[in-house]
Amino acid sequence: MNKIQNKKYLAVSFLFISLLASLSACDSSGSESAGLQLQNRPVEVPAFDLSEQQPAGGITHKRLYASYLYPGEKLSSKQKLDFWTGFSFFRDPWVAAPSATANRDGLGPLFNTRSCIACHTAGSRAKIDEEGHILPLSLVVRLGSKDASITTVDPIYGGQIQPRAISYRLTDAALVKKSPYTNNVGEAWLDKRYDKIPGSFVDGESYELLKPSYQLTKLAYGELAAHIGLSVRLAPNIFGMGLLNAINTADLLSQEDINDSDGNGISAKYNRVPNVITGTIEVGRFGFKAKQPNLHQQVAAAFRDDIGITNSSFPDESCTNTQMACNHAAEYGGHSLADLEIPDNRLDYTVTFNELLGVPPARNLKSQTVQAGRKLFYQLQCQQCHRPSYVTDAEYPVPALAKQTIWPYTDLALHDMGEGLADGVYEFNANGREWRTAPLWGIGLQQYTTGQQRFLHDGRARTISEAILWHGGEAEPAKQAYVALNKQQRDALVKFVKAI
Amino acid sequence: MKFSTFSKISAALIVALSLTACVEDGDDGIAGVIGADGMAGKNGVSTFVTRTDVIKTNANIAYAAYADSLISATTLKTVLETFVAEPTEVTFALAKKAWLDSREPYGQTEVYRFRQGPIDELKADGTLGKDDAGEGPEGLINAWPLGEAIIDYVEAVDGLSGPESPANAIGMGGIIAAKKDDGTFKYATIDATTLSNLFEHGEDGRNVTTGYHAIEFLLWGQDLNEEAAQSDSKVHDNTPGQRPFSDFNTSGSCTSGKDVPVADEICTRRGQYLVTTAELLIKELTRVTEQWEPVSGAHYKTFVAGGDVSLAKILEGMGRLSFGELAGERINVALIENSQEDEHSCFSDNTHRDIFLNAKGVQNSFNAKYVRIDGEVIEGASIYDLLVVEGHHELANKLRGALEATMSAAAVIDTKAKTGTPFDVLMQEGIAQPNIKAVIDALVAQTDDIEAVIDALGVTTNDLRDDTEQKI
Repeated sequence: MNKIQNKKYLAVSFLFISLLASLSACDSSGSESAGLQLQNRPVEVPAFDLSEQQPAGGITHKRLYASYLYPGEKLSSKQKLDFWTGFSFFRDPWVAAPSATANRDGLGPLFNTRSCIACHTAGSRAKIDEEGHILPLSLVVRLGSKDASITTVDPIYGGQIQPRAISYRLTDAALVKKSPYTNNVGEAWLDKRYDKIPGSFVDGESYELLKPSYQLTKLAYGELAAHIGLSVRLAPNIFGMGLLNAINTADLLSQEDINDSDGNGISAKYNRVPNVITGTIEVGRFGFKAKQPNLHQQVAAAFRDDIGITNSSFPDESCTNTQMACNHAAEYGGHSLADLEIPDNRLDYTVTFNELLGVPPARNLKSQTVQAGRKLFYQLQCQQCHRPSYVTDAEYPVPALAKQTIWPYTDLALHDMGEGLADGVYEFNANGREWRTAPLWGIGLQQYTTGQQRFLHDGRARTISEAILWHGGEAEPAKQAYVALNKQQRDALVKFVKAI
Repeated sequence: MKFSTFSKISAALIVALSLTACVEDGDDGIAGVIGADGMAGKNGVSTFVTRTDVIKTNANIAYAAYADSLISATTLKTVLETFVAEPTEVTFALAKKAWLDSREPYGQTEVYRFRQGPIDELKADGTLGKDDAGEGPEGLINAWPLGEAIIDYVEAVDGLSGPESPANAIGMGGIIAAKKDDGTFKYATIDATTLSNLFEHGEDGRNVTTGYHAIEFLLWGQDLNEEAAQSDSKVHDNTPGQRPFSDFNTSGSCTSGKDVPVADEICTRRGQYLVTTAELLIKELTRVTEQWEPVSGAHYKTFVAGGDVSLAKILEGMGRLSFGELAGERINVALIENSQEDEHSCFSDNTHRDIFLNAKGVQNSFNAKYVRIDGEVIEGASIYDLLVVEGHHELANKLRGALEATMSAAAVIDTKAKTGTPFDVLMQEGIAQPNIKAVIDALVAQTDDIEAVIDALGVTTNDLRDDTEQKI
């Protein structure tokens, strides 16, 4: 372990030094004094490919919409109808059971929110919870082990804080005696604060990052276990997931390089996670630490963990054994324990909706600035983790998603992102400094579709530039190279990311 | 909007001159379609229209349809006041009729959704944009389905009862009847402030306290008859909700579900609730209508000046309503679920009109024609005209035909409902599902043609072109 890290450190330093050397060696191109000299960077920039304009192949949106929530263009009418049908389950809020609306009840007993769309506004990221002492909505607090040797989640709170609850009070005296928790109440509040971290680019321009700190308050069931740490996440973008699901696992694994044997300072590592239906261990693809192996399981887990809707993949409510009132609220909550709160047909429609959700076409990709930014993207080695392109699995069961040339800009692998982004929490094979590379397609439209743009796992970055500046660990050299760019170059790079 | 005869002729002349180099065209229609492909033009259908003409007419129709909604909501309020003052079978029937009437223009405005217009994006400060809820006035006006238990008593369907929504959040009997431990009403006053504050109470989107469907629930009550989702027979009967008018009786025989009689004050409060909801409906419709006021309305001004961006929005709204909203969510979901909960106007069994009127709104936008509630016909430059002028004759005709096909399929549902087989009966398998499927298929087909029109006219939401120039 130590050896590997040392090696990585060396590689990082080497790259950094060579970068500085290349900076001092070359003469100014004239426009602005500082900055990276493009022509002297010995990096291969692949020729522009027309397919980059349709980043999701046939699942690309026909045109730009005011929302990400549209199906891919080349789908059949039947598929599009299924998409919109599934959309209604994505949009409509769930209510507590029993109710007069039995098809849509089963909320809770503990939950974060009532509908999918509440946190995935326009298929993107909901308005981030404000700084302060809050009942979080778009921010989810995951609980995980800080200790590699203990793999269990919190014995009382489980793997996620659900801040909301349907009302239920234990009245049976015998039960009340057994449990200190007679009231089914939300598990905790969140105290979120930002520290301002000033910094500056090599050319002298200054910037300011927001470094968040998080603390749970009003813990309803006592303290967290000693080994438990918090991992706070802002609901992610959900478009294009069907295509990420359709990438052949072999294509992913061919990029795996856990020990950095190619010495480039980057050690792509895939999470290995259980498939809850087959029981096998598979490559993780979805979630900020790639905790879920496929889209179906990702959607099913979100139903149970975020809304409290049990389903065939996750048939148990998110109450732990000690949360008696929660268990009783579940038991008396209308659906008999044998009945799942969302039956398979509706779950499948919701998964299909997610699977067929298109990706916006690229914007302005051929403009000079964006092309300059594209070149920088490769020169700075961003593509090492943000792998630009794949051809999806020819055998994927939904033919419209098979054999598509896609440009998601992710390797779906885990990478050490440094101390600044670390949450200190393990998720299967992912350690506290590791995060799954986020796809970059479509993220430049967030401001337009949601009225807000926030980046990184907890939404701390207000701009793409800030998001790059937060990169550390394996991405430290790339970040340093970005800091060394002049303003024109930085803007070009960001414009490229906003265009793809 | 009328062209003078002179400009019509000169316009036609310009077009004709510009075509001299082409193959033999037929004679031009008189003040109508130019001749093309050897066919004589049709007389008097179209004049020379510009894209901006089409946009203006679309805005004028928006105003007329929203104004009609506002006018009929105002009438509704008056009729409700009369009913509450003197509840009888007759005044009750008039109240229901007024509600049904008010839905007629509103249903035709829904084509103005899904296009970043006032209905979806008007904020409290009067500007347009995405607010925190991202909903605009639409939810306050037309939110459904609603968790009716927050408002009034409900019958627990199929024996379902428990510590659920009515009991937890508000108390038994909803806002109207819930009491505190000391026996006083939990919400002392039923007024606009109380109802507005309780909208989506506790962050719950089902807690719809206002709007058309809250009024509908107060007039009809739950449609409990043989709820298929809970009964083994899987057959819905053909009647809507059966709320008795005595639920509003304030002279010693007030009813409230199974409790008969109850204190008059419950009925008084129910009446107050009913009238207050109409007031709030008027308030929200006024805000939207004012945005569309010709010449002076804030959105009217930006919209008519919007060029191709506005034209794209018209077509965008038509396509999105046709397919995603109407064919998908409003019809197909109810169909695959066989569920009354997913039926738009589930209390009154008026869903057939919702479907018909939504589809009609799309046709209105294409034909640039809207018949006002007083019979006046608003007409102007249409997308049909524009397609013809720009040379897309076949497409113009194809979409015209597709919209007509949809309307005729919707008319079948409408007729069945009016003759005793409402949508919630129709949607059941084995009875007459083909009628509903026919509407879905027609909507899907027309959406393909709308997409083709967007391509043919080459309009996209161009305002995005500058997006990457914004804040980095």
